[in-house]
Amino acid sequence: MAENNEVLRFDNVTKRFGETIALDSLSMTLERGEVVGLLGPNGAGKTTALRILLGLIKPTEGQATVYGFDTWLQPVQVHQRLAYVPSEFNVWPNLTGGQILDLLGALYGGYDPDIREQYIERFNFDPNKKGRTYSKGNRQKIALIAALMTRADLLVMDEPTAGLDPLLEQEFQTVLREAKSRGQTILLSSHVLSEVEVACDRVAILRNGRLVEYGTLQDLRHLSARTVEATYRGDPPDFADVTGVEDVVFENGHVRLQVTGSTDPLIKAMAKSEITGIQVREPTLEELFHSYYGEEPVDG
Amino acid sequence: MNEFKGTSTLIRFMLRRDRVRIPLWIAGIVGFVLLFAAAVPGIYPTEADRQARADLWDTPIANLMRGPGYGLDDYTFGVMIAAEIMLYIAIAAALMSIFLIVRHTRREEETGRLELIRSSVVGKYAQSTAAFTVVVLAHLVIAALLALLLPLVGEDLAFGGSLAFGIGIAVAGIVFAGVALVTAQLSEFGRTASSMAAVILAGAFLIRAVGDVQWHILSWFSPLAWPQEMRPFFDERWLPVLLGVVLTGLLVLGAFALNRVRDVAAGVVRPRPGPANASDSLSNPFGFAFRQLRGSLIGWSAGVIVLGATFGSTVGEISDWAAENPGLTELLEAFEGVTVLESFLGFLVMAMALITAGFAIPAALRARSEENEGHAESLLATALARSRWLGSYLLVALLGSAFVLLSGSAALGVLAAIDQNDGGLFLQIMGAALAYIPAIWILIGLAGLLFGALPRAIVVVWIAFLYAFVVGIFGDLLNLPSWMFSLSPYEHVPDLPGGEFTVLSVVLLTLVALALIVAGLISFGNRDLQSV
Amino acid sequence: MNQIISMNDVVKTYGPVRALDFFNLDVNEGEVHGFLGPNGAGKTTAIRILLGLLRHDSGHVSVFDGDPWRDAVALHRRMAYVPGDVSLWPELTGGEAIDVLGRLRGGLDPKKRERLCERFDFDPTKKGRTYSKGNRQKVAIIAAMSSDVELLIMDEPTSGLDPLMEVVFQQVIREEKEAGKTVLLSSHILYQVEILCERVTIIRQGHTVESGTLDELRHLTRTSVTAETEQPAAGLKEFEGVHDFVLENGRAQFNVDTDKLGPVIGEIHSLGIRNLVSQPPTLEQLFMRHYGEELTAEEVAEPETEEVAV
Repeated sequence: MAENNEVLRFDNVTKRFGETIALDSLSMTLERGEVVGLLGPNGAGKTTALRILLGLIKPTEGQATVYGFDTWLQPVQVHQRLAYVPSEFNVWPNLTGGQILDLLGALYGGYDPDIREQYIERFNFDPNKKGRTYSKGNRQKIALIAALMTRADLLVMDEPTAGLDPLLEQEFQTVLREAKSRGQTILLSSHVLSEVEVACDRVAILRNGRLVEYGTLQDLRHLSARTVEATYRGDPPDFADVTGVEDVVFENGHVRLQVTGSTDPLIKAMAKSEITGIQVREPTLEELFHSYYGEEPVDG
Repeated sequence: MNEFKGTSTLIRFMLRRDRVRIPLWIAGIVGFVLLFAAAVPGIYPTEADRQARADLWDTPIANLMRGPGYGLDDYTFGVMIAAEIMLYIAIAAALMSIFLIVRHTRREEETGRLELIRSSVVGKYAQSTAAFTVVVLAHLVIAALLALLLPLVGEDLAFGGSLAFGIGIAVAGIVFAGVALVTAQLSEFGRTASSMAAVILAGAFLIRAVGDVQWHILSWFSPLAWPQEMRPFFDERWLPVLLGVVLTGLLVLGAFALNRVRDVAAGVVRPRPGPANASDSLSNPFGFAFRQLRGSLIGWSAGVIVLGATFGSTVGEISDWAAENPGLTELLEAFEGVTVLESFLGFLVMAMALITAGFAIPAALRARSEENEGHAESLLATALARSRWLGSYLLVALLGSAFVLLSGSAALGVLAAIDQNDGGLFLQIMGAALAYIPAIWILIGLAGLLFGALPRAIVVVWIAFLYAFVVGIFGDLLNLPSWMFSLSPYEHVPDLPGGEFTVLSVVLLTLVALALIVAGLISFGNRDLQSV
Repeated sequence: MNQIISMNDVVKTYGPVRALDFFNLDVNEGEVHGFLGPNGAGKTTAIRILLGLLRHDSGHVSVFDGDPWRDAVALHRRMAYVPGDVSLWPELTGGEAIDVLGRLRGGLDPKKRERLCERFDFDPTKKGRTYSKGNRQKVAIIAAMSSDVELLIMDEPTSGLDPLMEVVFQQVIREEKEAGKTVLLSSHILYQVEILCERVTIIRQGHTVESGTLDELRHLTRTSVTAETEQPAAGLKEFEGVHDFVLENGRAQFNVDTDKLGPVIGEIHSLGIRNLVSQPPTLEQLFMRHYGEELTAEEVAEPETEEVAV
């Protein structure tokens, strides 16, 4: 197979379950060495897209390929180059974590035991306990370590840090950075927007089975205003005369607003109060997310 | 071929996972046969003893329950083994297959673990093939052990016969591995896949039963008949092996075809939407437990009714035979104290009562799977007392098992009464059924107590059931000492129909059952709830 | 002020493992109390004791002035639980599951239930086995919130929910609080805890390492600042309270004692702000500071003393 830069491709993929349309003409590609985030509300089709990629379900129309191989017809060739981290990992209750890692590693076709040891240490994981005694977070670690130790060319991860405490979240982000610098390609489906923001080169947003946006964070940002958040003590700052300021919300010593244009007049207005903390930033992924999904959450 | 990639790794993995389970199954099956073979020379030392047994055996009753009985004219130990226990060993082998296959296929999908495996370098058929291979290997080990050890342990057991015996068992086991492979593809749940396969097994038993009593050709349509059709220790025939291989091959290909078409973790039938609100009956714990067990209750009731009716349809044959063999009949009646017909009917009710335990015990233990799956936690965090929660499952088991046995006995009773033109027979049969209910309840109580006090030891209730089953079905054959009989609750039931309805024993059994249940509820109230 | 939940020196062991080691927790009436800790620290064990699912070995536990083990049924009428990993009955619909849970608790408000289903965009007619993880969580959340209870105990309730639904969740919790309910919220999502909770308890290896309001916890830490300015920012280094100053490619990064933040911001402003990120010490930083270096290290001195000593 000619090795061009394209790692995976969804080519007009549609998937129907009975009457429900889970994916609607999805077309996107990933290039080698990219880290791409896959976002969308529950039910947007992310998991369906991943499962098609893994050859677990068959597209109703269209085709998905990985390194040129069709994901449904040639799954074995596809899988030889990829490793998967599922969103919820159910363990075999009577096997130890180490035995499960053995199995997954053997199925993949091999791994470096030193690398495996390193990850076990980094994630603070005890491989000698029986599966049923692990907490949710520790089960997730098994899946992570199994995928990472293979050094597969393509990593496909579905909410890999669900249930992990913030420490491990940090460790995970470090791990992603390392994988990227090694040249691995990563497709990461996640709700943890901070994670996606930090790690991903490009972001794909799905909604109702359709791809509504696919680009770098920069591209997605240029359309939005910047958000300012500040905490203060005593009297709240007064923004009445400040131009470009909108959507001001005060709460509990905390203020949040949107600003377009320069932030200087804003800061001047704020300095009149006792500010304990301030954040002026470009829109987070979260804000972009909300703006893409439009409707305000229904009020109580 | 890529579609099978990863099979060998998965085989090793499955063997490792079940490194205790599979040897236990093998030891259990082989062990029982060897014990039997070792014991019978002591019980029937002379040829006269053996022929007496053979004569006793040569009845439609025995045909119904044990098989066609080849070689009765020269009742050697080998013939005895093939005639008396082979059918049940074949059933045990089939159950082992169903259990193992579903465990390693559908259950893996259900828990989502298969997804992780299939996303690795694993072909489409690898999982099913690995599971099937493991089970076939287990059966071949059983066959080999039987072939090699029977001649050593038993008396006058030729190698050829032992080999035929072992292979016959393997045939039944492997065919049902194929059946389970197919049902695992058809249903979305492990539980349903097992039930479907078990229903097919029961159907195979019935077809063979009717065939052995009435039209022998019918038996050939049942894989459970094939082991005995190999006529081990008598006149070995190998055609059934060919049939077994062909049928298994078709089933396996069918399973693969279904696999190819299906998405992972889906069944072939899509789930439909349901009500947005819970009915009132669902919102109380008893109604909830009933709803969960309703399918099982309906299935078992239907099954036992069909069983009762099938048995009932053979009553005519029994009474005809009794009329044609007055000498033997007189002998039997003097021995048992009741008429041949009554003894037969009593045996059938006992058999149905034993089978009903197959509904009762899992129903009582449903609480256990609810706990393991995390559902108990949600419910017990509400204002629901633990005793009410557990008690609901036990109550459904108690009432449900009574219903199952009574309805099956009713079917038997109606047909028997019609055939014999004796309405009183119906009442007698129902009386017998009522008397057996407390015995089933004791098993339910034991399940409840183990769940409440020592959940890790729940397997003990199945051992108790197996004990009762062996004593009930084979007790007379093995000439067991009376203390062994008295350990089974079923043996304390009055001898009906025909005998006296001793109220005291029924009441005592009921009290024991209730005591076990209360102890179970109390101990559950005192232990930690296990986390998922 | 009423203490709705009180756990004093609670110990719980499983064989050789000590899951709770003289653990303390107090939750006052009407507050939203955050409960944090690394995986395996004992949060779930503590919660299960409060729910009467486990019995503690020693120490004192009371909920609504009652014993959660003995008085479980009575207490459960006044509280609702949302687990972190809801497992649904496959054959029942989500709506049926919600009703069963609610009714067993003592009753559901049907209007509230409907409203919540709308707000969470939840379809109650689908069978349990067809729901995604997020939707399963919604079942537990809606069931808990539709009942009229005084105490909500939540163990990572939003795991699996997308960010939109998290916002809905936060709004709903705020409303419950305004209605006077008490909430114990165990979560890994630190900003969620930060927004919703007044007080926080941090558990580690079975015992309480921090407990107090966010303000109290914050003043012990530093704020991190990243600034890009028009004019060079090297001078910032000399300001009082500034530590770990790094200037690279026109971007200055440093930590400053929180109470010295004001003047520093003023100086940055006078240099002309291009980009400024000055995060008030987040719970995340607090958390990290406690455990960051100790992923694999043995327990040494009390972490708090290390904090204050700077």
